Amino acid sequence: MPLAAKSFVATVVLVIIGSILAPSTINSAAILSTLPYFAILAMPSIGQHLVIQQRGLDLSVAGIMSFTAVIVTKLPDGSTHFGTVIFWVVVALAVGALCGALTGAIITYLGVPPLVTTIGANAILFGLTYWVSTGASVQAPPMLVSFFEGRALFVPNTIWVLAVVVGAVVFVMTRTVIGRRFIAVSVNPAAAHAVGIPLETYGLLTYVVAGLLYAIAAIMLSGYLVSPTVLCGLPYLLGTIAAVVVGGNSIGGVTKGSVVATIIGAFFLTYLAQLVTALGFGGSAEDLADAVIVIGGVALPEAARRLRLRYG
Amino acid sequence: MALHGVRKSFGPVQALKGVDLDVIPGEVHAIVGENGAGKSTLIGIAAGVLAADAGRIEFDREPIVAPNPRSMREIGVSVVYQHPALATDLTVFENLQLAAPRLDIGGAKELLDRVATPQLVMPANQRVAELSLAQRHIVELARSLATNPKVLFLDEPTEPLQQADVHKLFELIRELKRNNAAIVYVSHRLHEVDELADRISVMRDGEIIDRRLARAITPGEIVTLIAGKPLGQIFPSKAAERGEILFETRALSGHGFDQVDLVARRGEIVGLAGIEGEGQRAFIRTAAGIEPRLSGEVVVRGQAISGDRPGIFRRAGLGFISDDRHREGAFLNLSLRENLSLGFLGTISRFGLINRAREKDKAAAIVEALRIRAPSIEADLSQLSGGNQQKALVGREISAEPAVLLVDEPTKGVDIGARAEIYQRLRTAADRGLAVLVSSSDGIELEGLCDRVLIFARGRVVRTLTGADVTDASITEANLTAKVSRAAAGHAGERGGGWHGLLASDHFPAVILAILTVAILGGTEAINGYFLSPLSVKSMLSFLGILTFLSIGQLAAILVGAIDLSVGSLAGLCVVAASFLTPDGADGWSLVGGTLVIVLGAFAFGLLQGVTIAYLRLPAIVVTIASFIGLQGISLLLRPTAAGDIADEISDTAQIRIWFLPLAMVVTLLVVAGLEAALYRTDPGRRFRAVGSNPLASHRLGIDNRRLTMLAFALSGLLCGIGGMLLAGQVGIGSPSTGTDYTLMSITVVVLGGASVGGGRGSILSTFLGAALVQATSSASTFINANSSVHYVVIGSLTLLAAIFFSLARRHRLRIVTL
Repeated sequence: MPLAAKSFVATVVLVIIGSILAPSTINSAAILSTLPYFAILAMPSIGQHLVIQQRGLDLSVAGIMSFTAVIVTKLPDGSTHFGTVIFWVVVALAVGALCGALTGAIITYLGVPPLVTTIGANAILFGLTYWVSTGASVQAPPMLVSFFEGRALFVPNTIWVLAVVVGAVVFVMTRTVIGRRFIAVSVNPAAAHAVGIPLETYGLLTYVVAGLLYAIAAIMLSGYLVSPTVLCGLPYLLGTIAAVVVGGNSIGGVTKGSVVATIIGAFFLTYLAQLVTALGFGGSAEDLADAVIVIGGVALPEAARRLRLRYG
Repeated sequence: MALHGVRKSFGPVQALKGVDLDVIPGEVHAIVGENGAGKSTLIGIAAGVLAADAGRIEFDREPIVAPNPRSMREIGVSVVYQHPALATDLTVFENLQLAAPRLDIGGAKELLDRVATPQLVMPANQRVAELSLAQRHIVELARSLATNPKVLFLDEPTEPLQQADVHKLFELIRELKRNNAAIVYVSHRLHEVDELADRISVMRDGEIIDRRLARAITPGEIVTLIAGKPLGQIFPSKAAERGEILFETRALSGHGFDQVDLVARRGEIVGLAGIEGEGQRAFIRTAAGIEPRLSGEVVVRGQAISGDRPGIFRRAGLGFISDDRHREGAFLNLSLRENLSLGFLGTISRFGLINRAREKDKAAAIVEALRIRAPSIEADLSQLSGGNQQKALVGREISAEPAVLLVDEPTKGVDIGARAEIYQRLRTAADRGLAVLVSSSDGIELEGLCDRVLIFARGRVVRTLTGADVTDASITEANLTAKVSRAAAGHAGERGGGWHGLLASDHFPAVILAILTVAILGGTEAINGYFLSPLSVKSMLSFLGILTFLSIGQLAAILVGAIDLSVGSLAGLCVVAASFLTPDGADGWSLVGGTLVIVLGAFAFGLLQGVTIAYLRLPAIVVTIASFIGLQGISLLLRPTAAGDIADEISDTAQIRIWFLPLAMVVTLLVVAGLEAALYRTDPGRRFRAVGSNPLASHRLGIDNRRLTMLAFALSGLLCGIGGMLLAGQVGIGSPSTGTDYTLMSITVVVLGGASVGGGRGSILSTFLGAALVQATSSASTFINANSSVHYVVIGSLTLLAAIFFSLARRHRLRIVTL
């Protein structure tokens, strides 16, 4: 069974359980309010997915999201001028991509392990976020708020943005030469090198695209939350890794992986968080549930694989 | 020793199909066979490294139940591996001690003198990473003899050795034989077998097909037995005519060969021969653009290639098949179709879009032409047999329509049927107008396939054999008479001392860190005279103790090749727990009890994490990052906001003065000194480093990798518990968020201390000094500027700079980006 189908089945099971335990979680109002959170988690999870597929791990997702969120809230400073807002949105996207380019360059060209690089970059970015914001949170420009709280054809705009990005990523992965080579590099870098694929370019590109996706997510988050805190990116550190893992993707390349499975994983986690809240547990219980699910998410497939090996 | 009916499969491949082997004292038993015949698998099973699927092993007529590398070594079985099982981050002496813990330095030197010729002898305290290949084989040999084995397996022991070294080895083997040891000698060099063996077993496709006394068999018979049928039926006929020059190297030099001029014409197959490591493999890889060239030109169809990327070489018309199919050829988890089309994506795409219909057609055509046996073109390559995988690679490279095909070991690990088809295919490609270069260690293969054979020695072409001279016998003879006098010992000599030696030392970072710490303390004191006031120093020392404990915990995980992201949260939870279990006003005994509960609880949590990571084999990063968040969640559940005073006695006890240092600092220093000594002076310490340095080698040496990994995490938990209690004393209140920053700081400290993030290298002392530097920097930055943003930026930058510095300083290692 393909990864996407597996994670889809798991999600359906969870929703059925949820609808029995807390029927309020599946009415249309509840679903509509869940969807933006899902979109905002799914977006950076795609970035994390790409990095993990290239045998990396990106802990700077939290820092990049917090920093770019500050860029589109603090710096336009409540501006209602269209040009100003767009300018800072573009700056935020560029900063996201640039952060990715820098970490990517340190990892691919200087040979520093991704974990150490991104953990260091994350700290620097949090420092910068504090410095720019001076610790206080500022309201996002009204234009962003109305766009990301808005809907078109009954579907939240955040979902439309996600749909466009997912469509683009899936198309590139399945239909293009770039996507095929990206997969080849992730499955076996040495063999990809031998067939003439420039490893460094693909390594760098991965982090750039990831950084860009984090920035998009941060802009959506700013618009939807209205006034994001300095630490708004933090939940996405585990959240994105959890989405990849719950999607059944292996950590560290080797197998092909499925972006769609990761997105379904993001929905699973978002719905779970809503369920935990509906059942009357606070935010820290959600942390615990996430932690348990991540470990379960890596442990169960591994246990299943070993049982298969042992009993044929 | 005896093996009966041993079977072993790897996935769909049956490596051993019921092998019997008797090993008799005082006898040299040679096993010959082609690459992939199952020889190395057989040795792995005899050594307890691999578990057989079926069959049994007996020693002294006693059956052996559940063999493992350690138990086999203890009963007297020792193996000289083809790829030395050495922990490269450890010294020669330490590696010998891993096998024989009671060996002293004198004994080690004696042992090395016994096995090494004068030009290969090396200092016992040299790091294995700095040795030449030949020297590593000598160390491997010494290691296998260190335990005085009764049964000695040697797997291709002479590959990188020179004639004098080979003679010494043979003398040694004869001496062992006289002392009644049983010797199993695996080699594909028939003349060596002829010289040494009392009995010969021939292996083919996972079976022993013949076994005779050495004097009852001739080399010619062995050749026919190994190949499976008369050579004439395997190999295609040779080239009728040759065309213009397609491929040329002009004074090409690279790592391992020098100034090679070579010409290949349309329609011919040129063989490259030589003893392992004489430059032929390095040459063919450099000519394909895989390894960097140092000087000279590669010319294809009259055009010199400029640039040094494989992509450029491919576009110029070169195709390449590596000798290491799994690592560098196949994409095992991609389908057969995807594997094939990666060779010709350019021809089936427009504007970067792949035409799927054409991709399928072309892949199907290749499968048909090479008779690749696969369930379908959508089957993963891992489902195919080795022979069919190799055929797929040959098909991929030929369909990319190169002018020149470079093939390194065309039939390694390929069964006899596929072998003939691959030869046929290469010949057809040449007949259709390609030039083909083949590097092979198999003289029979070169004899049957090639029109010309060039012999490499010392990185140069020393002889060319053409026409009727292209025979296995003359290739072997040319190899041996090539008056080899490689500068094998030179490598080590160049690198040993001076600047490089200092940089490579485990304790080098300590010196730098100490200097930097003093500089920062002095500099800040110069700016602000209150910085080194007694109160400020006291607080700095307290936090240094905390950071040191957590960082050593982190180092324990990193040394075994893992990482522990949970340290900060675990220490934080200890603080919260302390606000419940050791509250203000509690009496002495309940404080001691509470402290013990917390520290042991942290230890138990570390142990649990270790079990999950080591025995369930879950990635350490994922497990510990989940713990990081989960533990923080528990802290927040217990104390949503900072509340609950912690007993003052805890910090008071930590501050008791002993001479002029607080008790906590004294304990910290003792722990640092004790653990440093344990890591470098004891057997468990060496094992710890060996696990992180080379898990495969340490497994072969009988080290229980999983148990040590589990212990590393348990130790990390214990140290976090102690550090967490010290932190509780400092914070004084049950705050849910105090610990979290320590995860990052502990990693910074370990990286600053020069530990290798991949495992195997690191020093507790350097880590302590790294903690001193981080603490000094962090105190100084908050002292000068109370803004916490600066603190984050400083720590983050320190992490990156240190990591970049050590990465560049140790660049000589192979670089493939991994976790």
